[in-house]
Amino acid sequence: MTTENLIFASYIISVILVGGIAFNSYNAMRRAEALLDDLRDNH
Amino acid sequence: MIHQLANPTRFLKLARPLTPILFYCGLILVLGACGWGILFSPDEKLLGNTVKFIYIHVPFAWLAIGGWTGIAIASIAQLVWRHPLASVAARAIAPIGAIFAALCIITGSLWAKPTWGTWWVWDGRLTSVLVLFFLYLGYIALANASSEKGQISRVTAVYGVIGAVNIPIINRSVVWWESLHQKASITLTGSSIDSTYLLPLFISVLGFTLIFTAIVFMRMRAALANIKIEARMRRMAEDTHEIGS
Repeated sequence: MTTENLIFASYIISVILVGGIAFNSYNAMRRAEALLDDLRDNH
Repeated sequence: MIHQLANPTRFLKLARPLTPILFYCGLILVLGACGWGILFSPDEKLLGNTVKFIYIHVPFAWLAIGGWTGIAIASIAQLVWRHPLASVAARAIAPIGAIFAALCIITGSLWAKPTWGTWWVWDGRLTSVLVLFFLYLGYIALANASSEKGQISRVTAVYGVIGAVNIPIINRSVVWWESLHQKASITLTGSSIDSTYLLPLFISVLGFTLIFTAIVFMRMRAALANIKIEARMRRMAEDTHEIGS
């Protein structure tokens, strides 16, 4: 494996993991806040 | 000020507009710094083009350590002042800290192969960071096992404080033990890194710190909303029960 490939791999892995946890956290936040708003509106 | 922000309502009022601002500012800074570092910074005299690892490896290391420092501070705030937000904050930091610690190890390992000729060595710095990663996993498991209404138990908070012992060990590991890892390049008195690399590195660290904070805010907002949902559902169930009887 060349150094360029290793650098490329490390950036790709970083994007996937940081992007993954950001996406997961955003979805969890959006879902929970939407459900709370829904409960407030309907009850 | 910290005491005032420990109020969940006040925190949410601040966190709602801040979350997207922090995230997008962080993203712009990280993309700019990494783009600058990869495309325009020259090869280093000794490290060659492997210097390009620095723009992600260092921020991940800094935030993996910073994350646990945050957990320790929040745990102390929970144990001493019983701040309602402290345990929520500590619990929100843990999975992100674990991801950043894992990325620190992965990028470090990928950097080690071309510079040291090996993916891994069991020296003080690498091993203490691996211990930090396992501490994060232990914290997550303990917090999930002992959670009450989205908050965490005192045992988890004590674990958060005790785990902080590893932070100075990571910091001093390259001084205390023989290591392939270089000594600290940035200290309180100055830096041995050339400004060509230092400026994009600084911007990258700042950008990742903003992204880290934004994700912590997202997870805290989700946890606070879940606590309120649980309370509301319980009240509704009690009302239904009363009407039924």
